[in-house]
Amino acid sequence: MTSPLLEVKDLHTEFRTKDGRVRAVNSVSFKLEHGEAVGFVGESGSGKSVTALSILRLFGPFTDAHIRGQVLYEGRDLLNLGAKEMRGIRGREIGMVFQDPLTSLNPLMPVGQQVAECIQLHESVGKEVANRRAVELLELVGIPDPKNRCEDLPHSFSGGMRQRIMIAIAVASKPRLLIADEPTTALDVTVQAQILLLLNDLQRELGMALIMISHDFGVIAATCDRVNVMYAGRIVEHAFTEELFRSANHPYTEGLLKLVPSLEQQKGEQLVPITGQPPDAFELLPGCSFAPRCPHVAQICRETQPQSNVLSPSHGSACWLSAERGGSV
Amino acid sequence: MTASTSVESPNDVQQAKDSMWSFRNKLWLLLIIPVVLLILLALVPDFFQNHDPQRQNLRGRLLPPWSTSTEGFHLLGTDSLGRDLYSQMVEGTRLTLVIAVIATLIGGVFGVFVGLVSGYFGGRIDRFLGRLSEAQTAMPMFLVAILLLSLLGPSVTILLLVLPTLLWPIFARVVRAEAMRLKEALFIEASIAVGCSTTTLLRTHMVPNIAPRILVLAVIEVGHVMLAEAGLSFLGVGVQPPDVTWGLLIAAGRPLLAVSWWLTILPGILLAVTVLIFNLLSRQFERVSGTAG
Repeated sequence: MTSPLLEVKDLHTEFRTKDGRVRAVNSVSFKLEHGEAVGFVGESGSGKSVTALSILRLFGPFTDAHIRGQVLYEGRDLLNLGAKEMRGIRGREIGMVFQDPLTSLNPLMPVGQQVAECIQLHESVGKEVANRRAVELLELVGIPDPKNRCEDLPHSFSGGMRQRIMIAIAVASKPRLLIADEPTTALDVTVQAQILLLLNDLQRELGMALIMISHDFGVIAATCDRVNVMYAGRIVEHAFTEELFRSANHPYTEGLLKLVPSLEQQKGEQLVPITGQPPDAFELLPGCSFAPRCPHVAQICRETQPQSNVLSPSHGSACWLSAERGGSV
Repeated sequence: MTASTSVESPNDVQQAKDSMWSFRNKLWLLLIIPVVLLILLALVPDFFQNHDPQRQNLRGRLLPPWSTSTEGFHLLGTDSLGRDLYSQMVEGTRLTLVIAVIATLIGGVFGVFVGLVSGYFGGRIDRFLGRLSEAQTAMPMFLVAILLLSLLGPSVTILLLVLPTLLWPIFARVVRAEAMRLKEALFIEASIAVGCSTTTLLRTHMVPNIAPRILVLAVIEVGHVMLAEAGLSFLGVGVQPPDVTWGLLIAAGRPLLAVSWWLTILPGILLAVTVLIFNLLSRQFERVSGTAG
């Protein structure tokens, strides 16, 4: 077996603020093979975005972010790279698409130039070549009439079009890994479907691996081979996408899945909310962080942190009750 | 902005453009005329002068405006040595403008640099630069300027070093605030994510987005620097004769205010009107570039 494209080992990310330490990511480990699509699901504040930002070390120069652990990209630990080497990784090896396409583009720069700029950052090509490539990329992501439109400023594009441009920028240097941080959250459903389709097509065409971050199981199901469910900075369950939908084990995953509205649902039939609030990231509970909200909570849950139990080679669940619960739902 | 408005936004932009260039809103372009005139006065003073501004004529001293001497017609009268006031005012335009513009440029470039670094990096650098600019703002810089100029001896070069020190904290403050706002913008993070270096980021993404504000501020500061230079020249620590600036003319006329008001009032009006024009122009830039408020 060849080595994985990306292997994250025991990643911890914490922010030191005036009020104390915020532990956003606690001991996250996962592997990503070449060309594979992995999803991260969880509520706001569950640490899925911070995990992605930690991989690329995308925290401002004076944000007091402390990242521990290992992020092995083809065997190289990204956390030990110098600033210059890291710039060679960002965009060149790992591309990123952000949540809000409306503010992700420089409002004062023609879009073609923004794509071309990204090409020139990583490859020593002339302006003309970069511009030609930019037009090709815009065409690839489905911007109509790219030759003329590349002169336009971002404001004359709709949200969906801008997200396509962002994707063009992210894949400009043919990265081997694309991280999409809630790429469709700000878009309406028809556009969402097109963008997801585009991401999937590009992933196949360019042979990229994909990390898809979303709070929407539908998005994950449409794009990902495997899923990691995150809660309070931990991966509480991981499985193949179908496996997870068929037999979710962790009570949190189960709760989330019950929250996906479906068309078959009777009118008036209530969605079942997960009661309570996600835990305060300032102080971690000694036991399972989901314990205060868990409907199946037992004494041990409040005292000791559960380790991930292997349910099948591809399926793991960090729950004390995982063995007896098996694959329910 | 919602998805539906962004679909329509090309129209909105067209409308905004139309209204910007409609007749009523185009009136501000008239302000360009006096500015062009000032620039012409500075570039080719000979073309406008009907006398050698330095030529003395003791038989035609202190003539009021609209009078004639043996030298010819004096539109704005003559001074105590019989020199033509109009020609001197034209002559003074060049140095007045050059000093104001260059001092603003020096102060602006330094202030923008400090503001960018301070706002973008924040933290310790920001605190240090913030204290520096506060310390300087707390000092009565005009008095310090007088002290420096009287110690080092007045000269245009020293003036060009002293005037920017009055200016840079203003630029630094505005740019810092803008940089702090902009660095949170997603497109800045996005350009880091594609591997942009910090210098490229500041140059190609931050500065163009702050530029309209810098321009608005710079135009208004040109007017302020003119006043400051006039003040220093008036006090005798600025520009020295035989160089001429408007401030110097005002100072020269002051002892004679009771007998020959025009020597003080006319250059004073010119200075005041010029500063007003720069102020108005700055206001209009602010409106047009949408940086108002």
